[in-house]
Amino acid sequence: MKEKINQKSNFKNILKRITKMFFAQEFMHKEQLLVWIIADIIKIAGLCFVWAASARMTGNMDQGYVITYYVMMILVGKLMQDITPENGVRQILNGKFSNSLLKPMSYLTEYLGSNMGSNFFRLIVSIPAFGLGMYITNRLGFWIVDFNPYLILLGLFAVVLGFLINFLLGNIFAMLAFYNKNMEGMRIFYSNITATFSGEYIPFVALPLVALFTVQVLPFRYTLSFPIEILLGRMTNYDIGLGFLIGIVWLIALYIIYSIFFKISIKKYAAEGI
Amino acid sequence: MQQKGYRTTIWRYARIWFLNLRASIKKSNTYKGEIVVRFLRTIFILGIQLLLLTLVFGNSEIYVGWTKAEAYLVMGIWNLLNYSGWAFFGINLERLESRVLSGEFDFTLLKPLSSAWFSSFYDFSTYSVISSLSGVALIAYYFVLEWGTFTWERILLGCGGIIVAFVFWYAFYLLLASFTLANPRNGFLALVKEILGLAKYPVNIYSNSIQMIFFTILPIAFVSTVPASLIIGRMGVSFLIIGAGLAILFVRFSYWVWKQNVRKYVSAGG
Repeated sequence: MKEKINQKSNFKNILKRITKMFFAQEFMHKEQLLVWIIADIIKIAGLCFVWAASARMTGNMDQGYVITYYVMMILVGKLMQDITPENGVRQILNGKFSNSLLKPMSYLTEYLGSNMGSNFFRLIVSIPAFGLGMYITNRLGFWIVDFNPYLILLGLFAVVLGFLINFLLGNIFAMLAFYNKNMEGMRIFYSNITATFSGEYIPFVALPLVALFTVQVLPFRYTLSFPIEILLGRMTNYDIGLGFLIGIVWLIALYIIYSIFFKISIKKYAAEGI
Repeated sequence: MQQKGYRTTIWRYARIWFLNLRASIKKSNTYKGEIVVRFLRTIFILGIQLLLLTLVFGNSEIYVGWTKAEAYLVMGIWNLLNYSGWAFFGINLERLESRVLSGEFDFTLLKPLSSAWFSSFYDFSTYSVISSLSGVALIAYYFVLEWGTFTWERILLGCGGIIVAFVFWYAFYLLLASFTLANPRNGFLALVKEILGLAKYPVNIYSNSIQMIFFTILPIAFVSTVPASLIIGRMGVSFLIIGAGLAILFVRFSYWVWKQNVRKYVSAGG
């Protein structure tokens, strides 16, 4: 027990070590990660073409806004990723989750560190692609971000908030593996839902008012679109403030849901492994 | 190592495939809840794709030269190929990496069958067939909207185009999956998924130079735009013949690359 308390106070050091370890692990498979990032960029470029063509044909939205939105996604998206729905679910299903429960720290610390290590590495690898995207967009006259320090700071806060919301959502989802032994379909479904409502497939600027209100109230917007919207500099102070307020309320609510759900669900865990 | 006097005819392959199919269907009965989840997901995908196309079109009737019904058709063909491709071979080629790393692939090489064929078709994902219904629904929707304008010739050409597209889809997957044998953990399958994902929309959304690439070096236009154009009647039989020729060449090339990569396989897993 004493050891546990000491380790708790050492949270920062443990997190740092796990982050470093996962950074090194990602570096070990750097070729694979590089190809994944190229694949991700291809997906984003495809969506960019779809919406840019739509903006050109319909005139419903600004072409520059849509293109810059997707170029920003190359960078921001990497910081918001959460691998828990895949790794956490796998650990519960194969019984390895027991190891995490025996450690003198919360398993969330381990998952947080693994996400941070992985995301930092992905961010570094994505910077050249972002730079190239920015350069091409700028040359074509579509770039709209002026790198206002105030907005960058707010954007960074929004990134931290969004990542934590995504992390809690992922951990709440992962706990479904305590009840259901085949999670493949649910995992894909969950990833479809988060990708759709986070603004990956459809930029929110294209949505009608009723749909826009719905996505603003849901937590998924804060896991990708919100920081990008701030950085694009087209939001009013009121909208930014309201966005942060909704995001913080969701963060608190999700933490409470997570805590209650974990207390109930852990009793179901049989650590059988399949 | 092939056993002496053992003939692997096409009928033997078909028999093995049907046996695997039967086993896979039985296996999929284990998790009935999964079937419900897949149905819900299919409805969700359909809803989101319809919303996406509605927003992309806005108030306009035409998008890059395609009507809304035609865009549904393109997306429907893509959905059908994507999910049924996953059911037939995608799921198996995705598992190739773990089979190589665990050393299980050695057993595949010992079988008196083509290793490329067996690695592609040894299992069948029944659940993915449910997702492919989203494609069937979109194609059916197009047929309902355009009912009365069809000729048998166009329908036959369209069916031919979809078969050719399926062959292309398989060739793309096999080609990039084969590199797993020589160099596992390369992430190429994620790449092929996203490249094929570019074909979800008519190729006309891309610039002329990119369109040229999609018809030649990276022929993903044959995956959805060409079959849809054959059904609509924008393209004639010549495109089907060119597509079929390219698809056969592409599959042959993929099998050749597979063999080259098998030579580099060092059986270090396990």
